[in-house]
Amino acid sequence: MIWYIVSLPFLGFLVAGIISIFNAKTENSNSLNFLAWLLSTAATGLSAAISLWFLISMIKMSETTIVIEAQNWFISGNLIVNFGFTFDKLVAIMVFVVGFISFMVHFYSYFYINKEDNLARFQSYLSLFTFSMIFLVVSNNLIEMFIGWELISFCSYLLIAFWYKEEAPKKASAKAFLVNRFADVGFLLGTFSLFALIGSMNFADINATAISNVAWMHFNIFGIDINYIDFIAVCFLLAAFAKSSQIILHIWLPDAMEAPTPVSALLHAATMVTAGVFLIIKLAPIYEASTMARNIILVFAGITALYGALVACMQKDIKRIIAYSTMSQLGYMFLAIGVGAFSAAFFHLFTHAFFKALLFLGAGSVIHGMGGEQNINKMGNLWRKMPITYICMIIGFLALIGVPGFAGFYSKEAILNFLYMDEQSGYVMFAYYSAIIAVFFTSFYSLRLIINVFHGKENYNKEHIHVHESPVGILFVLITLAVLSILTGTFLYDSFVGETSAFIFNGLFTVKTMPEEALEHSIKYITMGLAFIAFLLVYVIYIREKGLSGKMKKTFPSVYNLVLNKFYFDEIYEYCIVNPSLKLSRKLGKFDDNSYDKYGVNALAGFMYRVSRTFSFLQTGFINFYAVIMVLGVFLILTYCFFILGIK
Amino acid sequence: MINIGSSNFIIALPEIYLIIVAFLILLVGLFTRAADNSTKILLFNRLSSLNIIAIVFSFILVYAIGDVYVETFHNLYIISPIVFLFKLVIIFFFLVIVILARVYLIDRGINQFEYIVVMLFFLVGNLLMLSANDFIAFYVSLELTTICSYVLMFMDRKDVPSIQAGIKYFLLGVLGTAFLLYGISLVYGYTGLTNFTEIRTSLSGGAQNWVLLIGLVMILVGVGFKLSLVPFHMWTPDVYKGVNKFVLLLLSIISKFSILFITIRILWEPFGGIIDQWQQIIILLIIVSALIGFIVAIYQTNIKSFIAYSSIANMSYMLMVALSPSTVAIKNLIIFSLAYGVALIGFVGTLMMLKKDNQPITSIYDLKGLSKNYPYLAFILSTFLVSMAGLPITAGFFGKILVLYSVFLSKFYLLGALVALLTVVMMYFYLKVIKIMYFDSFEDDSISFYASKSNFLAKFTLGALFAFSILFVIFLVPLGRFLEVVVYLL
Repeated sequence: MIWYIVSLPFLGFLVAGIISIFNAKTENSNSLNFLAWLLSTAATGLSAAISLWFLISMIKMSETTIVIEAQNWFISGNLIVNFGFTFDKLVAIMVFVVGFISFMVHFYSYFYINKEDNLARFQSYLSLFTFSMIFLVVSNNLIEMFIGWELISFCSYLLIAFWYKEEAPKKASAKAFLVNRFADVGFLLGTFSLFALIGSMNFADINATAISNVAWMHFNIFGIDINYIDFIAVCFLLAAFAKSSQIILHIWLPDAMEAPTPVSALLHAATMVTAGVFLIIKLAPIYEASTMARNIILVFAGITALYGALVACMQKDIKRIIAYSTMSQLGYMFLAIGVGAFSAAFFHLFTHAFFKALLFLGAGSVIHGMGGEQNINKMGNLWRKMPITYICMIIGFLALIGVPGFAGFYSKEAILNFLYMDEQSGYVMFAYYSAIIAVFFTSFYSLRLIINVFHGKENYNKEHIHVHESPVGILFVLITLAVLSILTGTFLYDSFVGETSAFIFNGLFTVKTMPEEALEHSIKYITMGLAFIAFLLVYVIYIREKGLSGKMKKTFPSVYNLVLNKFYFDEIYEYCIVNPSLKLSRKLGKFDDNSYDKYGVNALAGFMYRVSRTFSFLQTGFINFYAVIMVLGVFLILTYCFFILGIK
Repeated sequence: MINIGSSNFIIALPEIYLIIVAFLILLVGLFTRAADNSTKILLFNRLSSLNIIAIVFSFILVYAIGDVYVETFHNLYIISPIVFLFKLVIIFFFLVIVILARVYLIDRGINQFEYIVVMLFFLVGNLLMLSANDFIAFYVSLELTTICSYVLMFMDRKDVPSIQAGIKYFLLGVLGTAFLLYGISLVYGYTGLTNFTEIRTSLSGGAQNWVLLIGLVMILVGVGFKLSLVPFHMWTPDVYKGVNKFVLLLLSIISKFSILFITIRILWEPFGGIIDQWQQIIILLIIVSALIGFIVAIYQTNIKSFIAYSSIANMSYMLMVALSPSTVAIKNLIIFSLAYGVALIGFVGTLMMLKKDNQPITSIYDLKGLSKNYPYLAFILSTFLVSMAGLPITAGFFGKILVLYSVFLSKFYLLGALVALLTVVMMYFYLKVIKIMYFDSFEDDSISFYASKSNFLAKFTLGALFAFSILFVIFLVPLGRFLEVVVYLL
């Protein structure tokens, strides 16, 4: 059964890929596109259904871990790498989420992608993306996971550049790929160090006992004592931060919005950015042992949560707003990891998957209805034209803000409570307050988006753009996800972070449970109060006093520009990293041309060529000359024998 | 067993059979009235088919006689496992060449039935030479092949370069033969023997004598001339450039391989006792030949003269196997010769079927634009080139690496490393041809492929050679197992 879960998306990729080759020849015939869509969607859907069935049976059997090892993949000395899959309840849930969201996105794409585009190619990429993520999730050891990890980068590269004829997607895809490749160094370093330390790369061997046995080990570099576990934890953090777009390595995520909207949904909800969080949860024993790594996480994640929410407030592009919102929500997940509440992080990942997919696909529906327009200032008053999209988007944003009753409330509240309950060190304090403030900004940008897009004045050209509600297929997906965005919180709270959460997570890490009365805690009122203030502010700025935003622009130009330009991260990178390395590589290239190539390679080749030419000239064509050479040769050989070898 | 006197005729059956067929063809040709050209072509075609069938039968005969160890005709003639292998290789290559060349020969205006007779005698000469167990038998059969090859060159009467090449080959060949004969008589003068087995017994204790040494050197000069080892290689580019592609293949594959095989036998069997004396001479010849062959090859633009240098280089490569007698060496040598021979025959065989502006292809620049006009053909040609260059997956890679392996096994590390490095130099040429086929700009589609009509067998053979070159990995294990079983008996 497990094999089917993993291989069906790959099959979908193969089939759709083969169809896309024919498709490119026949210039995107509709029937081929439909066939590819149908087969790949069916494959992914089947995979998701099997994984759901598997998950249910696993819960019923109350089995903790199922390990399938196909065979030894390679053996080299102590290094034994098996090719196999590991299923525990965490993995099973994750696989189901990935499969389900991916199924939704597969289904949705047919209604979204233009008929002129090669839909079959798109579907094949999506299926490969899904396959790689599932492969990563079920992997048995770090090496296998690395394959999935790299495949994800590669697929995101392909998908972001799906519209490869335009300039921006190409650049964005290269950026995403490069940033992730850079961070892979961390993954590899961590893997190898871990192998050096505990002699295994299997997840089964990375447990609390094994880690605590080696927790005392230090190494010394330049006179600084570094704990091995801390080092490994930081290495993996580097990889996870890039994939999950934490600050400093987040620059690829907003640009990745150049991809078609379904890709964004898949990338943000299930496959790409969650990989980092998942990796850390998988390696929980290391992070339980390393306080230093947790403190780093708290600082970075706190800043990320705040930064994402703040920057989202100023963006005009509907997709970019949601992208920065993802960043901020990923910050929340890492905050939970920072205080050791892995279950809460995973719970937020779970609920976030549904409402973020909903938001992106809803945004896609809006863009579709607007005929490709993405600027929220050029929309307005759409709620009459597309009521179902409107309601679904409202549900999505309520879940995102964390209004009681919606999914996001339970998971975010759990994270905030865990932060609150943890020992009050400086790091935790910082993280806690930035999380609280981020709630305010989250509410602000959410409401700003809702009001600008669905309410107020119609800012678009009515004669040119005929706004319409999206087709039934899109609405079906939106409604399904909206229902899940409401239900997942209430029903699963107990199983993920409540009293019964040990049932799922036992044996994976130390489970922190949230007492029932914690929900009665006053944090709820603080966040709701902040949300209400944000609502009032948005109402005042965008509906009541239209001039206010302009006034604020003039009063605080520097702050305004700073936020508008995303704190100049791209520019700083351009100046500090991109340009110097370009200059350096150009210089090195020139140096190589002038030294090694000129005097080494080319000189040798030229020498060989000259020798070759010289000896060719000996070929005079005169037989007497040839005969002389022959006889001379005989004498030379005899001389060699008698005088040099000394044979008598 | 047919025994006449003390001779066992049955083990010489392949040669006897071929001679009978040759005479039959001669008789049929003589008594058939062929007035005009088209009847001549028809006759030539029919006799060619007969020829091919005869060669197939001789292959079966050799295989049926098997890897026994029998000496006969007063120890002039021998069959042993190693000879058995050599004969199979030679007949196989001859068969492939004849199949591929049929249309080519007719197209060149060669339609005399005598041509077939001579080429059969050429094959018989080679087979007899491989079976020789005596210097006299060796010399006589060598002369048979040489004279046949002169005749084959001269018979291309309308082609002046071919006749010129024939004369050059003849004059220099006489010189080479003289050295060989001189060497044989000196060895006879020292030992009083001509038989390989007897010489081996008499020299088994080792002997140091300048008469013997000069004899050995002269014999090496004689075979070195045929193998075109430097400095006796000067005829090779000139002769190869003149002759037609069929004779080119006979010279560069059949004649070269059989002389290399008999050289290895001469070095290991009669002179096996004085290995320390010839080893240094062979190493010297290998180094010089490899340097000249591999490096000078890259300057060539004429395909035939390139093949000349390539065969100089590859002969020196194969000769490394002779340095120390072992069963592994023979096994690897056979694999190398199969890989190299298939690639070269495939390459030349494909070119035989191509024409540019109705002229045969001579320069590598004639192949411009082939990938656009005949993409499959260009791919096949590239595969053969890559196989000759010895890049992985193709047969040539395994051949090269196995020979190198046996050289390293016998501890000639520096020699092996040098020759391996020189191989890299020659890769330039192979890749250049591929580059010309695929990337160079071209004006029109003046290249034509004229073997398309009804020559199914040739096309099938070409496809088989291609499959052998590119899918050698599949054949490697069964081939190795077969060779191991045979070579074990050595």
